[in-house]
Amino acid sequence: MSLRRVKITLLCEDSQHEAFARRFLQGMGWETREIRVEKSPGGAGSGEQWVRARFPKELRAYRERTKKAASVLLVMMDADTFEVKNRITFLEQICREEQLDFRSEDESVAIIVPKRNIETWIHYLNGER
Amino acid sequence: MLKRLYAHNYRCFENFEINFDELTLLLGPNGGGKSSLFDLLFNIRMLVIDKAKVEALFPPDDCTAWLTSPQQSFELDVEGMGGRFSYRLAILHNIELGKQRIEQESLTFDGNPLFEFKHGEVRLYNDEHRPGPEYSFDWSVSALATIVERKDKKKLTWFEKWLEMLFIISLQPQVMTSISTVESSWLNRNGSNFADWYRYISQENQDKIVTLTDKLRNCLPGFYAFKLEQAGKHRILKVGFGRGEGKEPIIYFDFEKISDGQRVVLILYSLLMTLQEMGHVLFLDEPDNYVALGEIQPWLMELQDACGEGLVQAVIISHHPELIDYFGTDHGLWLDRDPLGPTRVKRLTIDSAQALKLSEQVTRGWVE
Repeated sequence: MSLRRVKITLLCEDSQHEAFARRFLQGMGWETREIRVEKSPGGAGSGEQWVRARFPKELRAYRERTKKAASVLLVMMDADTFEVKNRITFLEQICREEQLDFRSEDESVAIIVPKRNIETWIHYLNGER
Repeated sequence: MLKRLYAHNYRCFENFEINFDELTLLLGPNGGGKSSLFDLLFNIRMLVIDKAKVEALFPPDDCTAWLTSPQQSFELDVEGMGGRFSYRLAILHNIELGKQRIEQESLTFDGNPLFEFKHGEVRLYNDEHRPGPEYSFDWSVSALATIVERKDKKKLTWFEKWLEMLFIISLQPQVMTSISTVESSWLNRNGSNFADWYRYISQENQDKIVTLTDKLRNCLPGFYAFKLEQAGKHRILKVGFGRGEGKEPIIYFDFEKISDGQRVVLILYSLLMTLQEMGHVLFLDEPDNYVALGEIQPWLMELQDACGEGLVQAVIISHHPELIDYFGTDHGLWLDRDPLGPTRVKRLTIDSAQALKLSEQVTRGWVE
């Protein structure tokens, strides 16, 4: 049995985010074993701050890992009452505070911001408007 | 699906009640009552399905130390057939003689009677709850266990099948053997007869073996297949490993010759992949034991996806940070007690501003 090597780290707010993102990734052909989930200990509706605080650490880990093997960092946080770009700016700000460069275009760092939240997307995909 | 369990006067359980979901993680300190809960369910299953004597399963030592009542009471509420089954069992201990008897045993469906055994007298009811035959019966065994399947007792039969399909597992790889002497539809609590169980599945549900093999090839690099090899009257379970992608050579090892961790991982995936769509409820005591750190979360993801879909229900005991962090927030129940006090159960209050992972909060004793 060889060691499992994670290729995608999913940083998200709660289990609903996880289920959505993970099934999307599996639909794209990724294996469960290639995905590592890190979700907020606070559970549903309270994880945005936790994701934001955790982001620099995961971005650093991604950069370290990418030196050795291709990997992906996937971040998921609800927009809630903010605009999508505001949420991304918050992540940029916390990187600045930690003197860390924000993601560049050649980095595989994706930020998913469902607006207003993941339930909105699920309702839409279920045919509701 | 088991919705509720009540126990009184059994080890650390005094007026104890716990409610379950499709997926439940039992957390808490050592001695909190988690494993006793599994023991109790296991014993009830043994009483009804294996027709074991009450004295072998419920010794007086298992009465709660600080209570003086000679009676133990247990209740199971189970959802199924569009309603709720309630099974009740009362055991009376004669402390002086060191004897036990079943004082009362009953089964209802949405509050209406299906079966009653009281003071040595059995009364049966049909599916419409109309009274049927009455007869005297032995107090030392379950009367429910002896009722045969009949067309007008489908509800009662459903409940017995449900109880039969409880898999209560605490894997002990040291006692597992490669030798299969018979087919077995039941996996022993310690997993010792995995070879027999695999043989049963491979005979009765070959499609599941195909699914399991595919899954294991994905999950365990190098895994090729299981093989049951004839050896006189018996069969030997072997596990084939290769260099991946089906490349030769494939080398087969005796199941008991591979590592403890490999055996546990193989059984955990076998349980998940073969029990689906079969109505089983899975109770797993510390499935993370022996499993490499990196292998735990992928199995949990598979379990999460299966629960409530193919797999009716899973209840897990764990102290492992991987399980606590993955399931604890949404599915965790905390079982705890004071020294010489009864077990109490509660949902964890999760502080939304908490920066620490749940496992770290548990480690520090900061859970509320």
